[in-house]
Amino acid sequence: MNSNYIQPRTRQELSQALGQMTENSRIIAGGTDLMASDHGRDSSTDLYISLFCLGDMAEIYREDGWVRIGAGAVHDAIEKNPIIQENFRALSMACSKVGSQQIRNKGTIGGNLVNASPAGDMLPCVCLFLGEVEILRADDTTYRMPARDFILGAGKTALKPKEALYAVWLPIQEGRSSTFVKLGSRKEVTIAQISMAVSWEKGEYFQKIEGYLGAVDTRPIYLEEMNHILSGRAVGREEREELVSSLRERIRVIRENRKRPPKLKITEAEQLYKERAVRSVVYDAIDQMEGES
Amino acid sequence: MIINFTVNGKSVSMDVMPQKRLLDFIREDLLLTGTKEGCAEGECGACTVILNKKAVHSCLTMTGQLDGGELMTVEGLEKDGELDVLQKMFIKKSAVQCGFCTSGMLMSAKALLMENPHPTQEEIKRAIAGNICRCGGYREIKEAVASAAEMEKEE
Ligand SMILES: Cc1cc2nc3c(=O)[nH]c(=O)nc-3n(C[C@H](O)[C@H](O)[C@H](O)COP(=O)(O)OP(=O)(O)OC[C@H]3O[C@@H](n4cnc5c(N)ncnc54)[C@H](O)[C@@H]3O)c2cc1C
Ligand code: FES
Ligand code: FES
Repeated sequence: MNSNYIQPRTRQELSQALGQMTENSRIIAGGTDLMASDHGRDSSTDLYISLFCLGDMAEIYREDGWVRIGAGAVHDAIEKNPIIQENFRALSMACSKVGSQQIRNKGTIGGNLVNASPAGDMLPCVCLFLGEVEILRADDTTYRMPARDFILGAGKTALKPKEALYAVWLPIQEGRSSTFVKLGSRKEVTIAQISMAVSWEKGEYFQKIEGYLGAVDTRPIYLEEMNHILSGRAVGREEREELVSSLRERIRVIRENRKRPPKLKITEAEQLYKERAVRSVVYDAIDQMEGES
Repeated sequence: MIINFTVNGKSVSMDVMPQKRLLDFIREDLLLTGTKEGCAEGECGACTVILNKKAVHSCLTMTGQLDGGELMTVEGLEKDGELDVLQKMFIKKSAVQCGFCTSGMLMSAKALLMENPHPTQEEIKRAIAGNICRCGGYREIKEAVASAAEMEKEE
């Protein structure tokens, strides 16, 4: 337990700290992923950089047609933020469904994205809203890239050594609505088995529908069929079932192409769970879309 | 690392091991053993404390994160020898069985009432959803929190 610990109070102090990082150094934001795995006791860690006292990193504000969410913003703050509720309802809903109140009080959007768990609830939302990530380098400059290019796979991101995720930027798209559905293995405090984030243009019928499926593959999956199947018409049972079939097929292909067997020992019937359960996700999502329009 | 913070209203300046779990720091260094360790991974809520007015897991927090902050543990509920109304209601409604989850439950409930003094049943349920009671006394616990909110309203 002899690792160093730096807790920067300004962006400049953070960039300086980034310059001191080695491959054995760790950034800690809320710690809800990191501490659950290493308890702060990983003796190979030479330096922890804690983002906990960086006020600017937690701020959420509007700027030039975008909303900027600091990487240190916690789920509870994002859920309750009026700008997010008004423009990015699916994100507010996703945050409201993360873990427990204690996790929402401490877990950050930045930690969620960098951890890049396939079940991470922020991933499909940030992709849905065409989000960009702003990355801070050790020389105190930043650059931006689309969130879709940032998330590379399970636990993998495009973040390079001596860099930190500094903020997430979402463009404001007028006249659109969105929703988020999460199916877990229990009702509360649950990790997603399947999640779906959907947005659409408001009007008599749903138009220009965008959708992402989370927790099914190593990265969120873009659902181009949603718009073909659901837009510009009254959506009935037939359209719902067509979407269910299409998503079921996608999940089957992913399951069959999986190289590694599932970590948990599960029966064959359990392996087919997601293919069956996706129906309720589709029905819930469309019910919520109809309720919102 | 020297950190400054308040614990249960008292200002403290201490030389600490910043990467130590806050849970261990509270129990071993502050000698406040009311805060319990259950799962050590954010699942059970037994270690819940209030940091900067929010309920958090002390098992997932580093002691350094306390710097400049305000910590409240279950020991901070009692004022001048008198139990907090939440504690009184937990006793009255038999919301304590073995007691292992109780301090975490109390802190989640306290954080809720600090932010929202008149919660609905649904809001109470949500606030304590991350606190597991192995004895299964959820109904009594929710009743105790609701009664405490009621009592505060009357006062
Ligand atoms: C009981 C429990 C329930 C949970 N439920 C959910 C859930 O329902 N949905 C969900 O999506 N997640 C859930 N999680 C996972 C976790 O809480 C979230 O992913 C959370 O958002 C992580 O954020 P953090 O700030 O705590 O990350 P940390 O643990 O601080 O960090 C996670 C990783 O990201 C790195 N990191 C953090 N911030 C930055 C940054 N700004 N720049 C560079 N690297 C960074 C860290 O080095 C670490 O590798 C749960 C966790 C627990 C313990
Ligand atoms: S001991 Fe911290 S949540 Fe269980
Ligand atoms: S009273 Fe025994 S665990 Fe809750």
